[in-house]
Amino acid sequence: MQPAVELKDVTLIFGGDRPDDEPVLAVQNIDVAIPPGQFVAVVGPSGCGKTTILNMLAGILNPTRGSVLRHGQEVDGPSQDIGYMLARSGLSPWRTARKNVELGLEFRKVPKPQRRKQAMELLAKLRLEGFADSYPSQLSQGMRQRVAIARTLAISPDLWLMDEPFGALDAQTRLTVQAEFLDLWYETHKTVIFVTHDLEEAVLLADRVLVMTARPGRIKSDTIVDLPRPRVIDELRFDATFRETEHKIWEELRGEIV
Amino acid sequence: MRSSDAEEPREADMAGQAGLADALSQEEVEALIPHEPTWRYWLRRIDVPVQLFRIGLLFLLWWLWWSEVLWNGWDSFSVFGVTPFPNVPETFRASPYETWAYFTEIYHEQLFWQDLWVTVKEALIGFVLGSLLGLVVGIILGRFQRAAKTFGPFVVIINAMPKIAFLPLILIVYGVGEMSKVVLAVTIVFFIVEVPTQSAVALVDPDLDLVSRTMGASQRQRFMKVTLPGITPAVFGALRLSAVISVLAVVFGEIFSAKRGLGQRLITAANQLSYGDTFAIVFILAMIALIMNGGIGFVERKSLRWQTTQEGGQVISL
Ligand SMILES: Nc1ncnc2c1ncn2[C@@H]1O[C@H](COP(=O)(O)OP(=O)(O)OP(=O)(O)O)[C@@H](O)[C@H]1O
Ligand SMILES: [Mg+2]
Repeated sequence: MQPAVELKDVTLIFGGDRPDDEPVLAVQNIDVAIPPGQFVAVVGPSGCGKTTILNMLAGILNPTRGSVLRHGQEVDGPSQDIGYMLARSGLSPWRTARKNVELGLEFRKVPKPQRRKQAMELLAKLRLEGFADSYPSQLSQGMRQRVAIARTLAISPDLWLMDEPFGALDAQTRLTVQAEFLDLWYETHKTVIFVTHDLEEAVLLADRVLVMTARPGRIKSDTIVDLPRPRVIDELRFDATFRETEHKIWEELRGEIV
Repeated sequence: MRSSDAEEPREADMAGQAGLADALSQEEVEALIPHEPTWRYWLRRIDVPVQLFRIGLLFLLWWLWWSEVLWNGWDSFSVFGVTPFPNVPETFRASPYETWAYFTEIYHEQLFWQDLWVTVKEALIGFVLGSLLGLVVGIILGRFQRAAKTFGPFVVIINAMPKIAFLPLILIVYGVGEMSKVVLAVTIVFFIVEVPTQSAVALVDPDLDLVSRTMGASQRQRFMKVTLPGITPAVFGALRLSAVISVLAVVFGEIFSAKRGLGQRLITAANQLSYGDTFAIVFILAMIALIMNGGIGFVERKSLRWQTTQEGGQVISL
């Protein structure tokens, strides 16, 4: 089967084009193919190029060398069927939660009643229906993050790019939001590339975990997480296979961060 | 007050978990809120100390004017040979009575209403044109780096020039009629709106713009749904200021040279030593600026409702 996403020998260098500018080699020789419907987590030390890879997939950065493919097609520019959730949620403060979720649908010129219906459905799934008319400043951090998830998924993207989406949440809230997110994904089974600095999160959620080296970022290891689905993550945390897998990947990762 | 799953009757499973109370029901929550009596709420809204202080200040100002303390300066008080509060000679004093007399006089005078209309018209047109131009240029220069680089130095240099100094030239080119006052107001108001607009565009949340780009928003959509709402607070701040400045510019132009208008009336009255009249005209001009300001404030509150829900984002009004 043709991969949904493929990076072929991708190298990216920032800057260096001006005389007074030192080039930064961000990622180097990345080779990875992701089949449709796979949930891939990417972990690695800070500054190793995880966000850079997502930006290339989202079509807002071009690789210096190599090619970035989606369904065999070279990526050139942003595409309407990608949902990209940034680490910082970047909500519009002047829009209510519901209107924030509707943003991508407005770009697609979806008629108003349908927009509203879709937004409310998503908000309900994330248990936010009572806050549809609240502004971001009136929501808690976890709620804002859930609104951002809803906004990302409202456009029914074919590829989900998530950049440390739950990084700003406390441990308990994260667990709830993770579970909600996993349920949403399980319903659709779209391709997900999920960047996180939390190894436990990576193993709990993903089918496959990529570990990156320190900068310049390369793929250090590629591990399949063999845990059944649907997963009940608050139970799974204490499962033996889970512990084993997490430990194995940790051995790979620790070499890069110490 | 919202509470998600608090609707269950309270007694139901109290027995089950010793010590753990159920979440409060909506009614119980309501009962817990100390309900403020309506009169006390209004008392708090009105904020009696502030109102008393305002009234006190008003009386003080009134008294200063009425009792002529205002005019009886301290001739003997001088610092380094400078007398900051000189005595105002009797003939130049404007009493509240004379000021009021002017109001009753002009009320029936058709020419006054024509003058008022001339000034209001000039100020409004100057404000609208200057603000629109400033907004458009500010957005373009904020949005396109190369344009900002090209025109930036010119904007800075022209902005540095006191626009008032162009007035003689403007009068020669546009004549002593209404047009020259509008032009003066436009040149001043333009910069008051252009500069903050440009910097606000450059400061629009880059994450939000990035999100919109990845969602495939067109240039137009990014502008309409990210840039424009993002700069609105800054633009309203500038508009409030430019409304007042527009009146100022127009009146200055009229005082300098004009056929009609309140500025012309003011300088005529002053030349005839009718200082009560000048006072009255100043009050009228202040009213014009206040009404313009209030109109903008009204639109601002409508369009920035999201901001008033934020801490410290409150728009303070009279
Ligand atoms: N616009 C840029 N210009 C120059 N260098 C950049 C730019 N963006 C990123 N870099 C460099 O590229 C490297 C990778 O950055 P990236 O943001 O992809 O890291 P990351 O893996 O997402 O890190 P983190 O986990 O901290 O988010 C960093 O060392 C950074 O210094
Ligand atoms: Mg990052």
